[in-house]
Amino acid sequence: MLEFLPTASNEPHHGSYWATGPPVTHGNLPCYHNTTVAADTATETELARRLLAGERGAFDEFVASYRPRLFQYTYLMCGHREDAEEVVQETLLKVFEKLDQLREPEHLKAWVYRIARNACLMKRRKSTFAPAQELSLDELVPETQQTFAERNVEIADRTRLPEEAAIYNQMSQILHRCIERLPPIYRIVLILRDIQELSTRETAEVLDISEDTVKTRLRRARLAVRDQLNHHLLLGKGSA
Amino acid sequence: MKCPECQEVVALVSRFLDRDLPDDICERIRDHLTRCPSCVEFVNGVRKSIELCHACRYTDPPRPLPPPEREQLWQAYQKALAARRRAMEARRRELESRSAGDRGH
Repeated sequence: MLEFLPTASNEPHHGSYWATGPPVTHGNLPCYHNTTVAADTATETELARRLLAGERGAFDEFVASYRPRLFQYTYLMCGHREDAEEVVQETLLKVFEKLDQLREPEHLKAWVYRIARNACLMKRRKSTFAPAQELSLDELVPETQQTFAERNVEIADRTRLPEEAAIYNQMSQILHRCIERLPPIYRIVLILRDIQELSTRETAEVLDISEDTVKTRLRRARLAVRDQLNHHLLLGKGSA
Repeated sequence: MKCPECQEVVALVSRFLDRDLPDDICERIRDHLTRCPSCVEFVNGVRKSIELCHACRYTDPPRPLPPPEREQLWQAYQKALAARRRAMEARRRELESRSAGDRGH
């Protein structure tokens, strides 16, 4: 029922990162979050039940599952590896200390991230790495107001090149820088939704804001990241 | 990107990609995308950056958990489990004594 939509030309797009890939349609797009959330929640709920029951293996499974995710989250929030590792340990410690306060196992993920968020805030207050001044989202938008067509950046689709890992790694580093530059209220929503893949409801729960606010901030964050990525890539192209 | 339909795509792109829009609005956007290469490119750009974020999750793992830190977590977990067992036991006794009291009356 769902079909591919035609792109700008009938020629295949080779050599443009942003313009390549399948044409825009829900038929071939991965559905971000919604389809995986239900299965994911069931697994998380089961893990929470096993953890609360003190079942064999649940502790190691929980640590193995959450520690890398929490590290990614805290690294992007704190911006420093050492800080992030400390915050992860503090978070996990708090999680275990407060385990009897987890009333609803189905809310495990939101509960854990809420603890992580508070640990990040505490670390940020104490940290000498905290920036003296936060940028506003508007300050991050590149100065050049080009049309979307003009912003087309000639960078190869990573999936079509033998050196895809290197290019992809480079793109990841650029993405990290873009995310780190976002103002915290947008950064945290983007990290929770698009990197940690929490649902809108879970994100709202972690941040204690409405789901509509999550959606609004996510939209702004995604567009700012996209603009910044284009900006970085244009600069890279110019200096090449 | 001046026409109202293009502005709608810019306003709703995030929810469109999350499939978080009513069918009629989705259909309208998809219809517009058949006619507007700039919007197709724009939506593809946002989609690509989201995909990059998804993939970013699996990069840069933390250092392996040092045994003393694991032990610290394990001890906290055992303590929490013990407290939980005590609380459940207390609750069970309370229910039993209530039930015995009911039978006595």
